[in-house]
Amino acid sequence: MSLVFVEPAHAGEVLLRSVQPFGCLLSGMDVDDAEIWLKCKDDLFRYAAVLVGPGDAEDVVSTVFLRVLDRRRLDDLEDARRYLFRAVLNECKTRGVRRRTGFGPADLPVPPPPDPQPEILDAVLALPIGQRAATFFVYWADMSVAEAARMMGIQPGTVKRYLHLARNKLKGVLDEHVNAE
Amino acid sequence: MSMSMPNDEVALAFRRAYQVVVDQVDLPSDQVPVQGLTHPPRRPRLGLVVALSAALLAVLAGGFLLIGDDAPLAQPDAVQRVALVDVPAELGGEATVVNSDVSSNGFDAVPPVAMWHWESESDDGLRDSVILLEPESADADLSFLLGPTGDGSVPLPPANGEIESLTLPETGWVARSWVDGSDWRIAAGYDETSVAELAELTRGEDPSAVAMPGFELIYQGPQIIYPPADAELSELFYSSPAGGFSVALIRGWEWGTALVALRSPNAERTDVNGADAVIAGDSVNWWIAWDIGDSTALIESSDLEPDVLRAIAGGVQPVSVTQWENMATLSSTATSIGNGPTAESFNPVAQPIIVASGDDWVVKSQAIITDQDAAEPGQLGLCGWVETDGTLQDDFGCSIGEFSPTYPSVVSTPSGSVVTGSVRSEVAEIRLVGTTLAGENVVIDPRIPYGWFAVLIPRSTTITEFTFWDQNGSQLPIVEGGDEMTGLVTNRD
Repeated sequence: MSLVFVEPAHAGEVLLRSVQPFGCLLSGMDVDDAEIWLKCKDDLFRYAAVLVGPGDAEDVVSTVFLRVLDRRRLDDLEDARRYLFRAVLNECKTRGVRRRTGFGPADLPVPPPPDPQPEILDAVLALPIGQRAATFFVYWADMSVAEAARMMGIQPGTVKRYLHLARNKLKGVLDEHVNAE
Repeated sequence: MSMSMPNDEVALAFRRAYQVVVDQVDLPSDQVPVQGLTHPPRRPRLGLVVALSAALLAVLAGGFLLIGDDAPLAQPDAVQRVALVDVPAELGGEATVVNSDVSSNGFDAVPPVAMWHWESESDDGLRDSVILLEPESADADLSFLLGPTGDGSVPLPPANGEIESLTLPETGWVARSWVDGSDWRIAAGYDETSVAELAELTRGEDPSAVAMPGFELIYQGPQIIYPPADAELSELFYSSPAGGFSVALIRGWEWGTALVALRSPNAERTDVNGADAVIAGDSVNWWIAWDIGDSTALIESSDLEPDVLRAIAGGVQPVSVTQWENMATLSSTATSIGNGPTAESFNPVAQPIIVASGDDWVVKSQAIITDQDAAEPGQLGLCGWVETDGTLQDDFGCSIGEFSPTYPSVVSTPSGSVVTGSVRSEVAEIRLVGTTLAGENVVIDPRIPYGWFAVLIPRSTTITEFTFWDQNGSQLPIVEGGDEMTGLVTNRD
């Protein structure tokens, strides 16, 4: 459960082999950008899934990728991976405006497993998108607050604030859950 | 580095919930999205600050600790905004405002703590700072907020009064806490030996009277850990040949130079026009901050080197609100928001309608319907945006499905601050302090059960409270992302 990517020993070779079958290279995408895409895509999809739901994750990531490539080369960026994560968050925020309450378990293609309890899952998925992103990076991806802040493009103090708010909210739900039992 | 806490039930709940979600993701093949991919010519790297300014707009104000270390200024009480007045040669001769924002992102209720700050006299930057905090209560939430840069909380004091330690080797932070008489005390710093020594020396003693060997007490007094809720962040985002950067003022929140040392291991003291300042950086950004009166000026960049930031800081001066807004308004023609409002990416079902307008601004909304292949196909929605002088200035996105009155957005225009927000059909009226909005400034599209409102806030108004009421005279809650909020809007004046 980590968002740290492992550099292949011969990234260029690997990429040329794996990407060339697809038409994108012929459309103008260079090897460096394709390499970045291949490295980041799985984690971007997971991240987007947490923010907008699995059903919209592919659409979000694809939209972001195409939009970014339309404006700049990924390998021009100092940290393309971080840039893409921020872009996904921005895109999800835009969609979050469209769907204020975020996504819910009903958006999941299959029913959630019994653990966590549905009301806890509901509470997590109902968090504002910033709080969801912060808790995802810190509690699921094992990042530090400082790392999460860099990924989100915000200050560490803001991440801490998001964590504080999110924890408070979930703590209340957990307490209710315990009392109900 | 693992920030999860195995015994933390809340963290575990988050982890499990997200695991459920990511387990549902069908990871696509290695195929790259293809849609007429064309690249612009290679160009110099444009700063992330500029490229991602939208993501940075609302979040900057939450991140710093401060102490009261006043910097002398000519007109400290008059400083409400700052801007780059003298463009340094290091920027390549020009700097253009490409975006702007005013927001408040503080905490509602974080009580001040007593703080003592010692600094070593070595030449090793500020790495040898140690601090002692004395909150009014040993509160778990405050413990979390007081936590070191890396993560989580400082430990609550153990019941037996012993000193509890917390070490975060990845960030270098060390914290210790204990009950001293009736007080909860926290010692923190980068050097474990120094922190341990501080804890022992101050235990049972008046911290002000403690002499830390090799250290000098440089501050003692109250400390507001996070910006208060009414702290205002005004920020201008610049583009220059040398790269992008932002210039901000956190009004009503005095930073100083001490605790920042404990937020960045490479922080160094510097000066800005003779005022005490701190410059620090991480793997992405460099930033420099200094106090202006009771406020904090802040420059941040992911493109520029520290020396350039220092040069920029030297050209930053207080400006009037009007001057600042004129600069911010200029950005509406320079910034690249996109080709049109979000509505254009949906299927409009009607022409845009004007919600409200002024001499140089107009708020429009447009009804749309989602695509058949959308997650929620065939749903009606409503999009909103504001234009100034015929140019899209701010896009509020589109609301689809059921929603409650939402926290209004504030957009700066030459005429003042335009406050806009979405409402549902149950909203019969919107009340401001001293004003009731109905009819001309609130438009409910007849085809969909919700609409948009917009109003120009007088410059003389600093904070306006919005409340929403239905036809039965019942107040409707304001909800944002699941959080119920108050409808307080801070005017840009």
